[in-house]
Amino acid sequence: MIAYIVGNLLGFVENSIIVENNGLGYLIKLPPYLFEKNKNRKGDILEFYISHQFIAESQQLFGFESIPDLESFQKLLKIHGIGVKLALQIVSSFKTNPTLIVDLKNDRVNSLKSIPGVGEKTAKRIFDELKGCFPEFSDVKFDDKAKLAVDALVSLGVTFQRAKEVVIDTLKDIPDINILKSEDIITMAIQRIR
Amino acid sequence: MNVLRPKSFDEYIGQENIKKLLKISVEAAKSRNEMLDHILLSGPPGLGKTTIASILAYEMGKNFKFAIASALQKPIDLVGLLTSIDKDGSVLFIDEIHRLPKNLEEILYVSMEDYIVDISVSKGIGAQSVRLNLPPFTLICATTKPGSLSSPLIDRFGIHGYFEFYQEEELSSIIKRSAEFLELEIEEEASNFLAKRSRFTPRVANKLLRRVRDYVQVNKIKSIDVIAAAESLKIINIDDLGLNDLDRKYLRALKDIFKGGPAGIDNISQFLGESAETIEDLCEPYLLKIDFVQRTPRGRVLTENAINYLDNTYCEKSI
Repeated sequence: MIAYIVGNLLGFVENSIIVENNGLGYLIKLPPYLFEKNKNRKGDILEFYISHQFIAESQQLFGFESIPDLESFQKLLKIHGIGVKLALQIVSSFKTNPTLIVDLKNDRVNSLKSIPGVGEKTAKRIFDELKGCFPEFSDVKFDDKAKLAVDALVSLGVTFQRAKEVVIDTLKDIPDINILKSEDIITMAIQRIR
Repeated sequence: MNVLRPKSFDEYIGQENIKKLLKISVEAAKSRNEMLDHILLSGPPGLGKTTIASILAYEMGKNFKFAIASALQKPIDLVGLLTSIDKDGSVLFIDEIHRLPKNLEEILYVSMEDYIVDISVSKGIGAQSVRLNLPPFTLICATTKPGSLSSPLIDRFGIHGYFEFYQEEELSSIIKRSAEFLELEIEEEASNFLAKRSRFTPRVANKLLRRVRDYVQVNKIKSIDVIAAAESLKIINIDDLGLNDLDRKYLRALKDIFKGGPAGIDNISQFLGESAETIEDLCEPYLLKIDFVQRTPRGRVLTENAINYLDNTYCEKSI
């Protein structure tokens, strides 16, 4: 089984890439965000963690940035009703939209429906599986202060999605949230929006 | 930043009444070590309202923050501006305050009086609100339509300055000062000539001077005399009263199409293909001032002066 490839990016085929290693080219399918990221990097040396899948008569390679992402992808595939295409889409959504993680932490299933191709039933199934995935966002503490800040921004006319993103970004820059009042967090978040 | 903008009271020409009033207020505020009271500046466009505001910030030694009310649409826009005030206070300037949406006015009232912003977080019974404390600030607002402001807002301004149209001598001094800044030589006669055609407005005076500058630069004229000034104004179709194409079209339309009036502003603006605001802000203040047009409850009416003027000047028929 192939689990890791490092090599020269030769070119693109539809939404897959060809990576050359020791004279052999490998066709690797990427999550949409990662494909976009590498679009202009032809000729660069890149590394991918690979999920090697046998689907019907064919074999396919799926590339990810890190082992945790790879694990999340494998977990998703095990869920009933999720195929490789949707699993890639979900990984992509989570990597580009950290607020989804926060929603998972706060048991908001509905925001999963913002991912293209995910409906009511799939959202519920993904929900339990994904709670522990994508660890890089898990250190964001989303407590009552932060919730209040989001609500305050919303009542000032900011969209819910945007308010969440801004509050998360604000919290990331604060070493110790306990010394701050929610007023301070709100003020900092407002300045970030401007 | 416009190089021609004066930076302190001493450089600012004209509006003696406002200057006197504000100088005293600034002096007093500084000696008490307080922020200046909130100020409302009203008057026709181009007379130096923004300039006075930036001078006040300079004289108070505070940071100057600028916003246009039409750009403040949601509460977040205004609250964002208010929370950006420096810790030791700022001078906050909001232009065209009459365009501030009504739902933002309330936020502004409260912040002006108590330097706080209250954000209600949840609705209904047991509503929770968060209070943001602001550093002390001075709010300066400018408006061309003081009549359309609500009285609770007007009441909260401690100082109210009314801008007057300029006199020709003052405009002439402004043109000479600007010429110096632009490194131009200009004869007394030429600056008077331009001042006469500046519609009593410094902004127009500086605009004309820049056009003349272009003309003399291209034609390699060393010093601006009346001939050069007259030639350059001819190119941009400014006549001896300082009227431009739009003004003449407006007067023509009133005379020929609306039979001298009364005609509603919306009708006129539809006919000219210009927004009513443009006409009200750019043409009418001056035409009213020189008594070419009268605003009546039934609409705009052409005066004797305007009819004489139109009979004596050739301009394109509006039909």
